[in-house]
Amino acid sequence: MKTCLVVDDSRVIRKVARRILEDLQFECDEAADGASALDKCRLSMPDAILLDWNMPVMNGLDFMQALRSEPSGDQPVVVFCTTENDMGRITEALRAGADEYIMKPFDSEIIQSKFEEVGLIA
Amino acid sequence: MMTPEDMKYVAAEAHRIAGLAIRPNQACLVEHRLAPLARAEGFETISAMLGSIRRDADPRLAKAAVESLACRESWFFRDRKPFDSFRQDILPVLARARGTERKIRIWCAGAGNGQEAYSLAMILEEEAERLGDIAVEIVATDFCARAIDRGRAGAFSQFDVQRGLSIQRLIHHFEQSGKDWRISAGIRRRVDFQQHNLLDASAALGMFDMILCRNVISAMTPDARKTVLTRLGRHLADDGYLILGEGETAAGAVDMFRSVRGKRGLYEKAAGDIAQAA
Repeated sequence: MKTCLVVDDSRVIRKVARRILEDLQFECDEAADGASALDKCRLSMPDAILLDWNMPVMNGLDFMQALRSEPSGDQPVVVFCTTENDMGRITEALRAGADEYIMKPFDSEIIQSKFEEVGLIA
Repeated sequence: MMTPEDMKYVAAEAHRIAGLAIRPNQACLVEHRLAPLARAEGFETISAMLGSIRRDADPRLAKAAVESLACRESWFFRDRKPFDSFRQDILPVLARARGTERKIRIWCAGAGNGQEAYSLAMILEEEAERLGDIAVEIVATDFCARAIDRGRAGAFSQFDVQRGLSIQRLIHHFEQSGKDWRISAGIRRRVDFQQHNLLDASAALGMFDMILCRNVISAMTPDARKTVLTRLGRHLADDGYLILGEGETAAGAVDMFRSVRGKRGLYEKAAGDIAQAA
């Protein structure tokens, strides 16, 4: 079973995303900001990370840049999932090492489609 | 509420005009599809609109009603495999076969809002170097006028561009336009949208090297299916390919096509290179 870390400061979003991902056969863990996500990754690198951008303590972009410089930090597939839907923001995230990008609001079809694009689901 | 008589009338008109198969148990779907049209045309109820169509024998409104029933939802790179097949198998074969003419023609029959045609156009753009100076023309037709308008505009919602489309393709081929995402002018130029009923004469469309008709015939009655497949066959070059939707088959309907082994939904008229390689 593949693992996915859901990083979002909204408990509701985490819950919705988790339910969708569990339906897609992912084992999920949650973090409410980038700093605690980084702590979890240092303990165990997940296969995938669904990542919000704007969060307290450490935002998604800063988290990803920190993650990518960790040992094995290049392994997780990072899928941004954010209300930021500006072309400039999207390219910024991709340049910084994101693999896919979801613009909120999302539903199960979008998550499935995007996870298929990066090969997390066959 | 629609009466059983209303349903019977709708089913008969949908069959007569577009070959659609509407079953008596699809009343909910029919109401859902017709309600916006009835409202837009100023009728209190769907029954009132149907009554008016019958009384005044209004062909414009009858056609608009059937168009509403025929409109279908789709998404970019739907089912994936046909597009992989197009890129890896069909396009190289056709490029070789049309090495002298330097021209390939593709028909999206029942193109909906244009996602299928634009998916092919994106592949062509990505393969431009390999294709060199071979011109590829995509003709996209649909019975539904609204779908053709939307396809031509090439503007898609944030929801539409996140189904089947990678973020790289969104960045490369689209630009932001208010709340929507509009496919680039370069891609739009590759597709020629035309309103067309697959049951009508179509000589003016000419001959094609590949025809896609996906998730169209499965909504039709067997007789309409046969008419459409026969017509598609007449427009397909002898060494051309036909692609049907997942779960759709040309078997039994007409004997003009042979399925390509190992490629579900892919048909050819004569033995081509793909079948020989398989």
